[in-house]
Amino acid sequence: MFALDLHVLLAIAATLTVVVATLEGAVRAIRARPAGVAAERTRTAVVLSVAVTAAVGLALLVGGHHPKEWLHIIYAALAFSMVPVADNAGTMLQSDRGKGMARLGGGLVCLVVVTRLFVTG
Amino acid sequence: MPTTTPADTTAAVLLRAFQLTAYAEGGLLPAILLVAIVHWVTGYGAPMVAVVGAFHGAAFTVYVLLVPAVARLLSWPLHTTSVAFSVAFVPFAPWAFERRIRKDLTRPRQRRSTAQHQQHRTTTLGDQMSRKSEVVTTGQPERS
Repeated sequence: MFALDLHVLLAIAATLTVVVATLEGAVRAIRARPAGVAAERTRTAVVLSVAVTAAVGLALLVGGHHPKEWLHIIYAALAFSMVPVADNAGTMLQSDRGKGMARLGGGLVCLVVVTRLFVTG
Repeated sequence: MPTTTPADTTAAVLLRAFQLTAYAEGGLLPAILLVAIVHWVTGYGAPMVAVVGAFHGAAFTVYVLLVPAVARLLSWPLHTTSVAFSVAFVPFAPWAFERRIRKDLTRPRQRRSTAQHQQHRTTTLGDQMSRKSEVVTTGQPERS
């Protein structure tokens, strides 16, 4: 049970990091500011928090627990990669506002995916 | 009178297909998200999710299959190819990417022709070689 509780707690923490990363993108999109240290740190935080949550999830899987729907694993992969992928997509845009919009869009999609993770887990 | 080769026709068809798929993918991703959120929240609209989901799945698959072909055709560097894949996950981003690619293609070419490029390279290499040999023989490059 401890691992399951830990997985849920880590998932909540990961959700908070995704919210912060999305807000950072929104601020950049509104103020047309270039990506700075905050952008890099929030991206790292999202990747690390989702990775740690997924690691505990894998441990649960090995231990015999499995998600309600197997789509949970695909959603986890999407949540892990969404923010870095959105930042990568934003590099083609010249404007700082566009780059912020790319992060905002990716973050919102990531939040939808995280919601589905809670439902399917 | 300009002649059109089969290779030109294939390239044109490929680019047009990529353009159309990028439009479809860019619009269908936010559409499926919207429809799915409505379905999850209200419980209604399952057939709509199935229909939009199927179209989005098809558009996504074709887009992902077309990216390597277009990347090869236009000799994209790895970074541009990775961006092309990345935009498929961000709502509306394929539209911006397609616009950017179209702009690059329609912009008047400022690159040198192959012959000019080769000549420039040879001249530059020759200059560098002669400068190096001056350094070796005299200990310092000749000042002009």
